[in-house]
Amino acid sequence: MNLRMLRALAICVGAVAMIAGSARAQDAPVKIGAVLSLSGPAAVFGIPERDAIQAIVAKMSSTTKGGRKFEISFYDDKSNPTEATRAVNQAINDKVVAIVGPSTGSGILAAGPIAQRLSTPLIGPAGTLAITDPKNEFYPWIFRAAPSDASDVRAILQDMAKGNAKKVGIFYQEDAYGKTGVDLAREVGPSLGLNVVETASAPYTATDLTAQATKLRNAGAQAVFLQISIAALGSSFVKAARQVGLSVPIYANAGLAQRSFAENVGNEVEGLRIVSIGNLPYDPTPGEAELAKMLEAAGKQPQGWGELTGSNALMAALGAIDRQKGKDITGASMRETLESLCDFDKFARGRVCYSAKDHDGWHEDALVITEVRNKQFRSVP
Amino acid sequence: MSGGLVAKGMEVSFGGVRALRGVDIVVSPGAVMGLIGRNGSGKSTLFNCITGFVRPSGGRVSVDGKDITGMRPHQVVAKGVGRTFQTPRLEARTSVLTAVTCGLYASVRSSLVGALFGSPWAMREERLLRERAEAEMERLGLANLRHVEVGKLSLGLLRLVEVARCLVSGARFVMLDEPAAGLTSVEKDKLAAEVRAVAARGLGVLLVEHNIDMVRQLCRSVAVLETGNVLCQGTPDEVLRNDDVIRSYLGALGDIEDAAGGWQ
Amino acid sequence: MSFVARRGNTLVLAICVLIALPVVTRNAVWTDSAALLGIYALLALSVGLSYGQAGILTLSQAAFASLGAYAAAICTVRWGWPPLADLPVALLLPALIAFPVARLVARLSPLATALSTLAIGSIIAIAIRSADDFTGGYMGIAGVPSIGFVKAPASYAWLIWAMVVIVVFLYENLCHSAYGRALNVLRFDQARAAADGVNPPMLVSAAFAISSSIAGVSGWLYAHYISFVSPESLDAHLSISALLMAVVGGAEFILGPILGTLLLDGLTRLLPAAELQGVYYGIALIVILLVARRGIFGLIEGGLAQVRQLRRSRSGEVTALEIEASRP
Repeated sequence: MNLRMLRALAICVGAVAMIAGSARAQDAPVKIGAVLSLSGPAAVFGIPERDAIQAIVAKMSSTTKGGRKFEISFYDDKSNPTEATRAVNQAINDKVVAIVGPSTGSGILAAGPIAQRLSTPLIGPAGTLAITDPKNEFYPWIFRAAPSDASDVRAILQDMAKGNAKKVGIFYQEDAYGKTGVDLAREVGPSLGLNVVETASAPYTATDLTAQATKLRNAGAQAVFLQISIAALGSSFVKAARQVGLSVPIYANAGLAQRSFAENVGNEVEGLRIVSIGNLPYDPTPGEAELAKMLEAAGKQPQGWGELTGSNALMAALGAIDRQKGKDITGASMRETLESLCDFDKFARGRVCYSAKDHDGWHEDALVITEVRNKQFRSVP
Repeated sequence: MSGGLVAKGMEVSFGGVRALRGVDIVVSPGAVMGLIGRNGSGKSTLFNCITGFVRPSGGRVSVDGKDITGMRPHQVVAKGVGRTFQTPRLEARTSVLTAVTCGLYASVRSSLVGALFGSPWAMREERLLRERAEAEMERLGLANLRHVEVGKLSLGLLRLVEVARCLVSGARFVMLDEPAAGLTSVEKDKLAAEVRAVAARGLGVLLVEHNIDMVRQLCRSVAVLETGNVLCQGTPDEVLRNDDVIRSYLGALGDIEDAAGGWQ
Repeated sequence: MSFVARRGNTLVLAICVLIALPVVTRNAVWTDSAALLGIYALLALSVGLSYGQAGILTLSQAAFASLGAYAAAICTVRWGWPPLADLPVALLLPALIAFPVARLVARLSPLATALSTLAIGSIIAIAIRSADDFTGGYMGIAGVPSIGFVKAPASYAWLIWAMVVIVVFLYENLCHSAYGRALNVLRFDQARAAADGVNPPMLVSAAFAISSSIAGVSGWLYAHYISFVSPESLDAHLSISALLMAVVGGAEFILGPILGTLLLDGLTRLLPAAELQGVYYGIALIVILLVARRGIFGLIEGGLAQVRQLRRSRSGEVTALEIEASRP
C-alpha cells in the first residue's frame, strides 16, 4: 500500500467516524443534573422537587416533546452551600449541560462561580433575591425557576390593594428574611397606594404576640402582612389578633404554604391568607392537576410548591433542549438558549420569559393568594 | 525576716477539720531539713501550703525575706521553690529524658510564638535544656534510661525521675516527697549522694521521708508533725530519742509503710 | 535529636502531598475535593491542637472558621481591601475571642469547658446571623475575590495543602518545645505541670487561641476558594464533624486529624447515600471508636510498639522491664 492510498483511506475512515460520531452525538441522551437538598433542613423542598422531576421523567419516558432523549442524575446538596459546590462540580464532571438546582439560595450563590467557570447554567428553584443580582460576576449563568421573594411581597400587596386597604401593618420575624420583607413592602407599597403605617417584630420562639397585635391595631392597620417562615409564629399571631380585636385581613408569605402547615394548625388560622406558588394540593389549575396526577401515579402525595418549582426548572431545561433541534448541545448553548426562552411547556401558572436582562422569568402571575379554610388552602379568586 | 524558706504559723482547715494548727518550719540554704510524721499528720498539707496548691487560712511563707503567701503554684516555682510528687501521673509514652526536661519550663526564655516558628533562638535554647537535663540524669544515675518510656518504670524509679525534674529546674529550695520509697539500696545511695551534693551547692532541701536511715544520714535537723502540730524538732538523734515521737510515730511505722503507696 | 527527625510528621505530609496532588489535580472533581478536604483538614488540625494537646474538647471550631471566612468576605467585598490584607484579621479575630473565653472557662471541668465552647460557637453564629447590615444575615456575602495569583481550583488545592503543611510544621515545632511538653504534662496532671512552673489556664488558653487561629485560616481559605459565605457554610454541624475527624484519626497525634478527615470524607462517599446515610455513618463511627479508642494513629502506634517489643526480645536486646528486673 503506498502512501497516497493510505492517506485516502485515513481520510475516508476519518469522515465515516465523524459522521457516525455526530450521529451518535445526536442520539446520545442529553445529560441534565439535579442538585437538590435531599437531606438536611431544606429537604422539605428538595424532596418534593426530586419527586416531581422523577414523576415527569417517568411520564415522558426520558424523551422531550421534540423527541430528544435525555437523562437526569440526582445529587444531594445536603442543604449546605459547600456540599452544593461539590455536587455541582461532580455533576459538571459527569458531562451535564445544565443543572436543576441547587435547592437553596445559598447553595446557588456558592455554586455560581463554578457554573460560570465551567460554562454550565444553573436553573435554581429558590426565591432568594441575591441569586439573580446583575452585580454577580456569574449572573449570566443563573436562571430562576420560581417567583422571587420580591414577587411574593408584591403579590400580597396587590391583593391588599384590591381589597381597598390603604394602611398596612407588618409583623416580621427578627432576622434578615423578616427585615428584607419590610424593606420590600416599603419600597413597593406606595406605587399601589399602600402605606406601611406600623411594624412589629418577634424572635423565632415568641409565643405571646398580643403586644405586637395591639401595636398594629392601634396604628389603624387595614391589612396585616406577616413576613415569617416559622409556622408557630403565624398561628400565634392570628390568635393574638383575634384576642385584641384586630379583625382585618391577615396575609402571610409563601413560607407557610405547605400542606403540613394547613393540616397541623387548629381552627384559629381559619381565614389566614397565604401567598403560594400555584395550588397543587387543593385548587390546581389544569396544568397543576396534570402534575398532581403524575405524582400520584408515582405514589407521591402533592405537598405544596416544591413540586412546582422543581418541575419549572426541569421544564425550562427541556424547553431549551427542544429549541436546539439538531444541534450539539453544550452548557454554553444551553445558557444562550435559556436567555431567550419564552413560553415553554410547563405545569405551573404564569407567563415566563427569560431575557438577558431578566433571569428571574417568573413573576406575580405564577403566584396565587390562598385562604386557609377547613384545614385546606383554597385559592382566592 | 531571715533568709531561707520560712513558713510561720501555717494554718489550714478543710471544712472544719484543722489540718495544720500553726506550724513553723525553716529550710535554710545549704541544709537538708527532714519532715516526718505519720499518715494524716499534715505533711502533705504543709507541702501544698508552701507551694501554693492549698491556700492557708493563716500564717506566712517567705523566700529569702520575700513574702510568697497565697501565691499560685507557678508563681511559687518562679520564686525558686521546687517540689516533687509521690505519684506523678505522666503520659506513659514520654521518654525519661523528656520527662526530666519538663522540669526546666520555668527557665525557658523564648516565647510561645518563637517556639511555634522554630526560631534559631528557640532551637538553641532547646538544645541547652536537653544538655542540662542530661547532666542531671547523669548525676542521679538515670543516664542509661534516657530513652525509656516512663510508663515502663517502677514507681521507685519514677520518683527518682521526679527528683531529677525538680532539681534540674534550678530552684533554690527543693521539697522532696518520699523520694527514696521503692528504690534499691544502690539507688538510695546515689540519691542520698545527690541530695547531699545539692545541699553543698547551697540549696535548701525539705525532705519528707519514712526511711529513718536516710533521714539520719542526710538531715541536720528534723521536724515531727502530729495532727497538724510540730511535735518536736531537733537533730535526728534527739528527735528519735523523744518518747512522744517513739509512741506516736515509730510505733505506727508498719502501718505507714503499708499505706505509703496510695498516700499523697 | 536532629532537625529532620524532629520534623518527621511535616516531612511525611509534605512528601505525601507532593506525590498525591499532581495526580489528584488532573481530575476536576478530585481537585475540588482536595481543596475542600485541605480546608477541613486544617479545621480538624485545630481540633487536634485544642483537644489532643490542650485538652479542650472544642465544639466551636467551625464558628472560629466562619469568623475567618467573614473577616475575608467583609474586608474584601464590603471594604474593598486587597486579598491577603485580610489574612491577619482572619488569624487574629478568632484568637482575640478564643483567648479571653478560654481564660474564663479553662478552670472548669472538661465537660463544662466543652459546653462553654459549644455556647461560644452558638453566640458567634447568632451574632453573624443578626448583624445583617454587616454580614448579610442569612443571605451571606457573595463575590469574595480570589487571592491574587491563585485562581484555578488546582492552584487553590496547592495553596491550601501548602497551608496544611505549614500548620503541621508549626504544630510539630510546638510539640517539640517546652510549651508542647508542658501541655502534655498538663493533660495528665495539672498539679505536676504547675509544679514545673506552668500557669495552666494561661497556657491552655494560649493553645486554644492558636487553635482558633488555625480554624480562622481555614475559614479564610474557604471564603476565597468558594467565593461565598453564609451562616450555613461553616455551621455547628461542621464543628462536630471536625471533632470526629480529629478523634477518629487520633487527636493527640499530629497527623491524626488529617488522616481522620480523609477517612471520614471517604466514608460519606462510600456509604449508600440519602436518608439512611446518617445511620450508617453513626454505626461506622461507633465501630471505629470501639476498635481504636485513640484513633487510627493510636491503633497503628500500638501495633508498631508490639512489633518492636517482639523484635527486641528476639534479638536479645535489653528491655526497660529487664532493666528494672536486673536492678541491684
